[in-house]
Amino acid sequence: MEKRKIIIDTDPGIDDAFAITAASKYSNFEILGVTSVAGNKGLEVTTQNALKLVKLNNIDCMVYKGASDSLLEQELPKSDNAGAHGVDGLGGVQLDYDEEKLSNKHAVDFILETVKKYPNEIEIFTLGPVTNIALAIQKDIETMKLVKSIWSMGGGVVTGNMNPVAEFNYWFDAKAVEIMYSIGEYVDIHMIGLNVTQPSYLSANDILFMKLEGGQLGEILYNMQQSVLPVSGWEEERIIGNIIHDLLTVIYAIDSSVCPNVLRTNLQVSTEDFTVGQTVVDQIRTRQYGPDNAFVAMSVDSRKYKELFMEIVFGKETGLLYKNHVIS
Amino acid sequence: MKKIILDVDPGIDDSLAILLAAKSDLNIVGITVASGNVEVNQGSINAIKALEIAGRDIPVYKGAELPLVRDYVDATDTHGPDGLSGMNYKVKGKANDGAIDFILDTIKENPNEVTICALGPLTNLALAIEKDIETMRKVGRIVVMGGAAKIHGNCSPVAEYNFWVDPHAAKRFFKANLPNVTVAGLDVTYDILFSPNMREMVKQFGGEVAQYVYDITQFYVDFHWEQERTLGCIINDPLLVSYLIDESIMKAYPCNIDVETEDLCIGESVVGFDVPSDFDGDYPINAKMCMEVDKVKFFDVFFKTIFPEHVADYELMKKKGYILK
Amino acid sequence: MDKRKIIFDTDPGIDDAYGIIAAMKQPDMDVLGICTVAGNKGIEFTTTNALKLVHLMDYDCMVYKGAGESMLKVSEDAGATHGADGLGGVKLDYDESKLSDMHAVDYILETVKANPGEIEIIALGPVTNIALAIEKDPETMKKVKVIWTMGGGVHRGNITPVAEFNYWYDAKAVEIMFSIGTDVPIHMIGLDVTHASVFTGNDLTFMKLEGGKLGEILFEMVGPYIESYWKHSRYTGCVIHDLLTVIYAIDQSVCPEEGIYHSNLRVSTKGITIGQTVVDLVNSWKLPVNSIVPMKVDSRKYKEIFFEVLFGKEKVELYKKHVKS
Repeated sequence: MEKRKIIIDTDPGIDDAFAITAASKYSNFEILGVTSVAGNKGLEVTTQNALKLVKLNNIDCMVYKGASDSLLEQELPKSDNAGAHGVDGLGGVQLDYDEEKLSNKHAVDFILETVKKYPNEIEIFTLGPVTNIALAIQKDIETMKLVKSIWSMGGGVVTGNMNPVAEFNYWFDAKAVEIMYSIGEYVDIHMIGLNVTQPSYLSANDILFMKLEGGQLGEILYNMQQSVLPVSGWEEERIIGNIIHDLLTVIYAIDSSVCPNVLRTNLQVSTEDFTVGQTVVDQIRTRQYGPDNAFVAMSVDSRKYKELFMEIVFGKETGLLYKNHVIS
Repeated sequence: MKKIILDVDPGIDDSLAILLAAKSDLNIVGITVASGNVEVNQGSINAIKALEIAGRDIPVYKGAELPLVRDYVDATDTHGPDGLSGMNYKVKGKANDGAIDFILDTIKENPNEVTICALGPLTNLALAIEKDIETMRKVGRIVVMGGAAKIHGNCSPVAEYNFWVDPHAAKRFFKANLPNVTVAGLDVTYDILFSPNMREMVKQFGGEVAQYVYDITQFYVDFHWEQERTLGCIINDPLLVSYLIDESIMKAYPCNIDVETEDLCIGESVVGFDVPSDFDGDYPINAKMCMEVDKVKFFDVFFKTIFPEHVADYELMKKKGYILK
Repeated sequence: MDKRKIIFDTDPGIDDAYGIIAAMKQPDMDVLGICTVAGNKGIEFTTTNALKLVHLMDYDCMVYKGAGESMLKVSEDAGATHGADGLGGVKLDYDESKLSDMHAVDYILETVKANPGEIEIIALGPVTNIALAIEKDPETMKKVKVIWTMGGGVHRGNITPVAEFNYWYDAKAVEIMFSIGTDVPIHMIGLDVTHASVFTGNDLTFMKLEGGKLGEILFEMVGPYIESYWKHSRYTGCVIHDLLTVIYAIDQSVCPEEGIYHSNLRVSTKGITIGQTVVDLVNSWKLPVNSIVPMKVDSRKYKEIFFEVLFGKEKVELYKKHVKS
């Protein structure tokens, strides 16, 4: 059987690291390229981190540097997300990388060329701000309509983490979000928002399990989590653990039953003022804002999601140990 | 179809087990008896009675008269002076001698094909092992009623009767490390309560089989009330027979079983479950121990097999909540 | 109000450390002295570790070295479970001058004589010292107010399938201790309850996050413990046996009344069941009550009391509100 063709658009980021790791371990994915974008950190850091994750997971693809700035005209308050990702974006865990894995090609061009080459076959995971996607649409909308699907971490239904109503990725470049959903009639765009990522956080028990049974990779992932748990988990969220937003996006793309309730509806995003980045999801299907342009995950089966993650990343046997012995 | 030997010491619950097996499709080729609940001669008469009630002609063989080492202690306080609530049945048939040889010969003729269902003390099996362990290794499967892993015993806080009455036989049996051994002890049989309502239901069924089941359980019910203020009686042995009919009735886990032969804990089954295990020393897996039971499934098999003409009544009583509520 | 007068008899050990620290933090407990015994580690290690705990908590009491070997001459220690030094490799200082010249057994006897009916002994290791004290002067030992002992188990073991480490290490001493159980209330905190109260990764992480310096030390200490419990018991966390013993001594309601058995208890001193506690929960032996054995635990309440005693009211409110085990 042919593998699913994947492009990962990302701003690593600890949760990006988990997501990329899971995607790389899933046998039915062929990762064609990783494109970087500014977000959790500046573009230089996220590009370097993408290179590190490509090496860590031994992924046979290049990294393409993308947009370094949001398309928003409104000046946002600065955030370097140090609490959530550590100063270097990967919780201070030391990882090597190969400079020659960095392509000269711009991320936007890579995306467009790849979609042209494989029309209606490419699936894009957007784990950071969607600036690259928006630029690609602006450059060549007809090609972008030939993307098979977009799995996008961002937004949320009636919740936020940057302001009371907006999530970081979509807040960082709300303008790009608006542009992305403009092709939502033609391309299946799945939004995995805070309403499903927040309740499915990894607890200290889950994280401990990765250390106990996950070998070297488990230890690396454990250390990333340990470094940021005190602030981003405990102080900010009052959970003993961490929310790994991007991971759910990848696992959902692998097995959509982890989000049992998905709404096909219209989605709009606020691009200005104090609600900037807010996703307005037409839950009551008034249809007065426009056509259906999004699939919005409305609920999550946390247990199933975590079991799947452990199985995909650490193998069947370890997955079974988790299933049988670990309570989150 | 696999040939099955029942090794028993009837006994009320053994008799119900024989009745269940004899009324089922299982291919029972012979019944061997040892002294246990009652001494072997009385036990053989009781085994023949159960077969006659079932309308089956299956040979019965007498085996060990006494435990290997310990002084013999019967269980007539639990089962009545004759082992069947004092009914003192007369039978037409006659038991043969030579239980041990029957077991060995049957295995020799059908290597890896014979199932032994051991419901009494393990004396006969220990003697067969002593006589010809190579043949015994060719047994297909053994299911054993006995022991207690994580639950209070019935002869002491830690010991169950079948192992307690002949601990040396039980120890030798497990040390022999025979293939494919599954044990069900008090951990699961405590759930198999033949309730007063079930007993009254059986009585209403009417007929010879029903009357027999009703009569032989009387002493057991009285004993359970006297001893532990339980209403009804626990019928251990049929559970093992039902397991041969439908394996999904119990869930078994790999373990090491050894049996204490001296002092305070005599007769205790020492059960160490499979890895993970931090126990010192050598605990090779030599059996599986049943730790979970689906009692509704058991009673379905039990009643529907023994009283096939009353399946509808049984289902109705269940539905109305008179039994298995 | 007069404080409760406590003597610890202990072989620290990670879980001992938790228990001792909890008692030192409990306002109405006065720890008069800490007696050491060989067990988790040899006597030199356990004595040094006791001194380290006194120093860490800056507590005003002396340490008394006790028995260096089991009455049964067992030589093995609990090995990797507690890390090479017995305290999970955490570096702690100690003050040699806190070590008394007096032998633990003499210290226990003299203290009981001076405070008849007032001394509570919390025994967290093998009970060799207590047995030696009873052999030397049983009448004095009958004036102990109460003994809280971590050891044994009714339906499970950890060093063998049926025996717990402390009691297995010196089963003879256990037998002697329970011989005064008709005169002195002896509460046995066995594996049945300790294993029902696992500190999970979530609990321990909370302690590290909100427990300050002490929380960090205690978190670091359980490192090897967690590895061992995952390997052997498949817990994502660990069992801190001795801590439950102390918390139960602080507030007995952590073990619900209906699950507490006043029973006759005997211990196996030989055979494959050596060290096993045989507890007559249903009083079938009709022997005098010599033990108080909780079989149920409210594990949430237990942890809440622990966090309150160690880290104060405010922290326990955070724990209650935000942490699920």
